[in-house]
This record gives sequence, structure tokens and C-alpha cells, in this order.
Amino acid sequence: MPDWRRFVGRRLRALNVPSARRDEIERELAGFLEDDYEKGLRERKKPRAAMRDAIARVGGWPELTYAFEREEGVLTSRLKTLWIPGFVVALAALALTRLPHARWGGIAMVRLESQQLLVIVWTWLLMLPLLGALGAEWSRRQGGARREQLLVSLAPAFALAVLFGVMQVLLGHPSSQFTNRGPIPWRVMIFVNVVLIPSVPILLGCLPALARRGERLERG
Amino acid sequence: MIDPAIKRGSAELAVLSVLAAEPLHGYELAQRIERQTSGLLRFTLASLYPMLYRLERQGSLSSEWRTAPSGRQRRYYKVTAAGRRKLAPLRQQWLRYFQALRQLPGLRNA
Repeated sequence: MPDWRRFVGRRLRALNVPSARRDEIERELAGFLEDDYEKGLRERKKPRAAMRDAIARVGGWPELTYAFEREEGVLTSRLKTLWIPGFVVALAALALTRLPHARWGGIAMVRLESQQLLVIVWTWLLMLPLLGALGAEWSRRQGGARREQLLVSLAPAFALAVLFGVMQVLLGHPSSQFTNRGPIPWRVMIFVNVVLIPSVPILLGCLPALARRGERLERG
Repeated sequence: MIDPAIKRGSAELAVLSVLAAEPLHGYELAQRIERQTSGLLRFTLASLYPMLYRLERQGSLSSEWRTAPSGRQRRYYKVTAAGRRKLAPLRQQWLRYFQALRQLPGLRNA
């Protein structure tokens, strides 16, 4: 006899509902598949055929997961735990890159002296842990899972990656300041500087919120 | 075979009508509807359970875990008073709809 409960649990791993609700759903679906499998056996089907026919009654695991999340209001919830905080944190990170320009009279970054540029970059990098912590905590308070907290914290890095991609498409070639001066291709250099390096302080900042085990607020 | 869009529209009526007769668990319900419609209405898990949960959330159904004749625990659904109030006009709407369709040329003898 297949372990239907385990089977369903594995397929519904992505289902984002409170654990008590998940248990109930898994138990019920496993019961359905178990009954269908046993009916197949009573009809003298071979176990493998009975199992295949029972699984065919699912109608697609992604569809099932999506339908449950829609019915359980998870999609609305994800807006609160992921999309809104992620958008705000990304926007704040991008806005912070513009703040020092106001201090120096709105001059373009490419015209700054290298020392000023260093101050801008370091100030920004030092603010990122705070934004990472803020994003993770916001998501956690809304009932976000760890994965959602992490994604919210990393939203600035995603936003920068998207900007980097857009720049690639729009520019198509390096501007004078990005010309190759060493063995590492300029695209890799920009990606490391603009996306990977900022990700480190963000991750450091969100660690305390992620470490708060067992304090996740269950969705109502 | 019946188009899935038509099935979707009528599934709620089928579920409420069958459960109005007696409480059933999900598999029994699916089997009952399939048998009584000669296999034309066949539910998958993805089409049945989200609908049952929705109807329960709306107050048309209630459920409880009980021991099935097989000796296993199954969740039984039954139609609530609110569900019965919803079912009567739903039946009428579908009957009127079928009657209207039958008046169309080509469907008169259907």
C-alpha cells in the first residue's frame, strides 16, 4: 500500500498555508487517493495501474496548489508579506543612492571625485543592512515565511539586477568609464559591484529577523 | 465529453444537489456524481476540493471528520440551512436556462 499521506505532502510542499490547515488538506487528499487506489484494486487492476489511475485524478499539482492558495486567501496574503514590503524596500534602497547627490548639489555621479564616490558608496552599503532588517521584519510581522522574508530583504539586489539588465539592453556597449582595464569582463565587474556586493550587507541585516524561530505569525 | 467551462458552471449545483440528499466525504461525492451522470461529470482533486472549501467558507456546507464504513477517518460534508436556501434558486436558474436553450432551433429535441 503506498503511503499516500507522504506522497501528497511531497507534492504540496510549495503550498503556502498554516501548518494545521496543511495537515488537514493533506490528510483529506490522501484519503481520496487511497479510496480511489483501493477501488482500482477491487476492480482487479494491477497495483501500478491502480496507482497511476488514482494519481490521474489529481488534475495537476500546480493547479491544485494555486486553487487552494486562492481559496485560502494566500494570494492576497502574499501581497502583504512579499510584494508590498519588497517594493518599498527596493524603492528605498534606490532612493538612498540619490541622497548624496542632493548633498553635492545634484551633480551626476560620473562627475564626482573618487573620494566623494567612495563616501557615497560606503554610506549606501552601510545603510543596506538596516533596509534588509526592516524588510525581513516587515514581512515577518505580516506572517511571511522565511523564504518571503529573505526575498523581501533581497528586493534591492533584485531591483538593481533588473536595472543592470535594462542598462545592458539600452546601452548595449560599455560607456567610457566601464572599458576593460583588466582580465575581468566589464559586465561581470558591474554585476559584482552593483548586485553581488550590496547583497552581502542586506543578508547580514536580515539575519536577526530570520533567526527568530517559532515567532512566525500564523495567518488568520 | 462535456466542455470544462460548462462543467465548472454546473459543478456547484451538482455538489449541493447530491449533498442535500445525504452527507458524503469527498471521494464518495465524486463517485456518486460520476455514476449518476454516467461518467460525464468527473471531478479531479483540483476541481473538487477548492470548490468544497469555498462552499464551506461561504457557509453553504459544513464538515466533520467521521469514521467511514472502511474504518478510516474521512471528512464528511453536508449542506447547511444557508446552502439549502442557495440551492433552491440555483436549481430554478439552471432549469430556466435549459428550458431557454431547448427553445433554440437545433436544440428543440435535445
